[in-house]
Amino acid sequence: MSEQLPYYLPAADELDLFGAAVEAQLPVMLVGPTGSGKTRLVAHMAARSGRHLRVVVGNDDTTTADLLGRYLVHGGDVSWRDGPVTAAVRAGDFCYVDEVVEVRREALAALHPLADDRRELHIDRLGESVAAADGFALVCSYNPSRSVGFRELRTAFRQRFVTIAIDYLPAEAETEVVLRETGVDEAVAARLVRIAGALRDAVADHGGESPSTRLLVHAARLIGRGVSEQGAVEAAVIAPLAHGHDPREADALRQLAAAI
Amino acid sequence: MTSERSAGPELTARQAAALARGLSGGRRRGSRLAIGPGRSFWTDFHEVFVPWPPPDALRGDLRALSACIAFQASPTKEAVSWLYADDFTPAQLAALSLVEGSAALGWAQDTWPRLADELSSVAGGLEPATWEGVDALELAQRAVALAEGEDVGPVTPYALGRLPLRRRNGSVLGGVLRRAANRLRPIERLLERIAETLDTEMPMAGDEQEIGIRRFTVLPADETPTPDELRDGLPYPEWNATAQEYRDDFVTVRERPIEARGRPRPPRSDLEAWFAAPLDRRWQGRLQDGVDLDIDATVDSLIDRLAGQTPDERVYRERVRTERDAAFAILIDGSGSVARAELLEHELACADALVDAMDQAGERHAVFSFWSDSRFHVAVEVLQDFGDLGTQPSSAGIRPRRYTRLGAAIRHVTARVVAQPARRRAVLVLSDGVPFDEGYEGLYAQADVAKAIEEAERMDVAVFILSVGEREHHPLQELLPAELIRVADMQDLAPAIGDVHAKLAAA
Repeated sequence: MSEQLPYYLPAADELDLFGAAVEAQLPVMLVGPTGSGKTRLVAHMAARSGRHLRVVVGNDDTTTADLLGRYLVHGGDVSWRDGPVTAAVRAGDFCYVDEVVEVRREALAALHPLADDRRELHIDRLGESVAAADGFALVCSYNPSRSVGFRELRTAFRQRFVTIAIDYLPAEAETEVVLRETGVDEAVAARLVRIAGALRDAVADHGGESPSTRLLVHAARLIGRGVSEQGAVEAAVIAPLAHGHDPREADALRQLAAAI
Repeated sequence: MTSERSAGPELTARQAAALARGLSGGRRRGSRLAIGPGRSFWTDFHEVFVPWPPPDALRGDLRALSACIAFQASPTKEAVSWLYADDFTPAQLAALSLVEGSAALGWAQDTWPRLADELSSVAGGLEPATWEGVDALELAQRAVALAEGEDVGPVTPYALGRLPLRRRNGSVLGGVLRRAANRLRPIERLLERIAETLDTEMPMAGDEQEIGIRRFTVLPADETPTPDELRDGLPYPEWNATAQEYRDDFVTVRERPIEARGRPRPPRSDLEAWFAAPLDRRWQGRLQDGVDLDIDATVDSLIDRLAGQTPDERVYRERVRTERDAAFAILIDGSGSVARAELLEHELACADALVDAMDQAGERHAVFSFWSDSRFHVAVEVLQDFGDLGTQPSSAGIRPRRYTRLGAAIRHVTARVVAQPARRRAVLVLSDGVPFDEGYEGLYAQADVAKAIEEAERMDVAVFILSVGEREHHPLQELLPAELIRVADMQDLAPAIGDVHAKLAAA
């Protein structure tokens, strides 16, 4: 089972870029919308390199301790437990910090020495510096449309990374992904991708959410199990995007889906 | 498919915008409602205009509306726009509408196949025509041929809307003479002339190329007008809705600062309550000192001690304010008669309270008032400029005077806000919103105000008009469903302003 690599269809040369960055021991920053394949890309490359992958999803509460580790108190005993980043550094694994822009500033600062040529982690609590084992790779990602205002990454941090932009695939490639992931009919896959394209145009920069490839895969899976196309598109693609106050808000999106 | 309650103007405008973007593959950026007796479907390539109230046949039917918007999304519109209306006779123009409509129908049916039946239905039996690679000259030829052959009636199906044609510069008389000459001229000469006008970079139907649209000129951000220029007057255009074009350099706006007069007023706590509490405060922990203990930090500190290490003393937390990258302008209607004096006083008091709140929130702001006396004199008075500290707008002691050329005032204040480097920019207009001045009233003035707001929104400046007064129907209600906020009574003004401000700040 571990022989089967996670399926990833490249849009351009991102796999080569990623591979070269990892070999050159440079950290990688993936930038792109939700559901566009960032996590899948990292999983694919980790499997290809034969490394284990540790994932941390960043949010407002992510502290330095969450990344590096903390002392735990059991009864009267105090012991240190490594965090996911520390564990990856020691073992030479891939470490993926998703939604890195949500992580607290001071926690990110702890990653600085790991992200440049020092490639080491300073753990204040232990008074220890850990050098990254061979094979270690640091990967971070964020969704640019959601990082606004004070939630922006510091230049000093961003510039340590090789940045690869990931976007939704062009239509033919996205169709290919839906086909591979679900085994549904090619005409159906093509229609779903066209619907996504029209909805992405409709929503554009107007404060709505764009349908991701993942939602199309969900819709295709439902269709593969006998749900009607219209029902599947409604449940898996349109309803998750609709705002909920006035159900008629999404009617325009339904019209577009029904026009294809 | 009709819905039980038909969608109001605001919902329709949003739905139309999403449809315009989706059906055109992003070539059209949005949609706007068009009102007035001459209203129709049309496009300026940036937005699709949708008549409101909608034609009877369309009422409440979103599918039919989608079909009409699809016609405006067609790339044949870009192609036909290269023709000049005054080169054609009325019969040829009617034929051109049908010919372009047929090509648009062809495009729409090919691109959105499941909409085909609805498209045919709203197009009133029109047959689809080839559209790929069709250029303006081809459309002109088809139109001329059609006009020669059949009896083309003057009425085209409402779904086809109005053609986005240009006009040659020149007088009305010149236009009449030209059309008379066109009737006498052999068709071949007309087509030759058209072919000459079109250059080789003319886009074909199906191209993604965008046509440059006449844009409103605004002072570039790095060019600040001198005090002399402001005093002597800056020219602004006015929108002529009947001709659907701008009157350039039509209005002169003079800006001047107002000195404070009289003593500062005491703060009104009843009003301040509506604007209080800047929203962006978050807890910051692990501080040397603060109002509260940071529990996590405290526990970590205790663990450190147990583990035999020096505990970190930063175990407190505090609420800290974050700066907001915003620039807001308040524009107060200083026009009108003595009857407005009480309301104006109240609006100024609200402005005072709002200015205090914005000071505390670290938002850049300015307060202006305006009145006008013909298009040669629109006065915009600066009660507080961006960056001024400690002035109270109400201390200027302004009284209502003269008339309300609202469009120009909005354009000028928008230009001032655009010059501020900030990510969130907005203009809040306190006015009953009924524009009136010499040669400026009714639908003409309302359309100009709506146009000025449209221009501001294209520059990413949000505009809101807060209007106090009982009135069954406000003339700007359909044109600006999202921007007009009506308040029945003076007492409700402060909460309404506070609401708008909070929404802008949270955005």
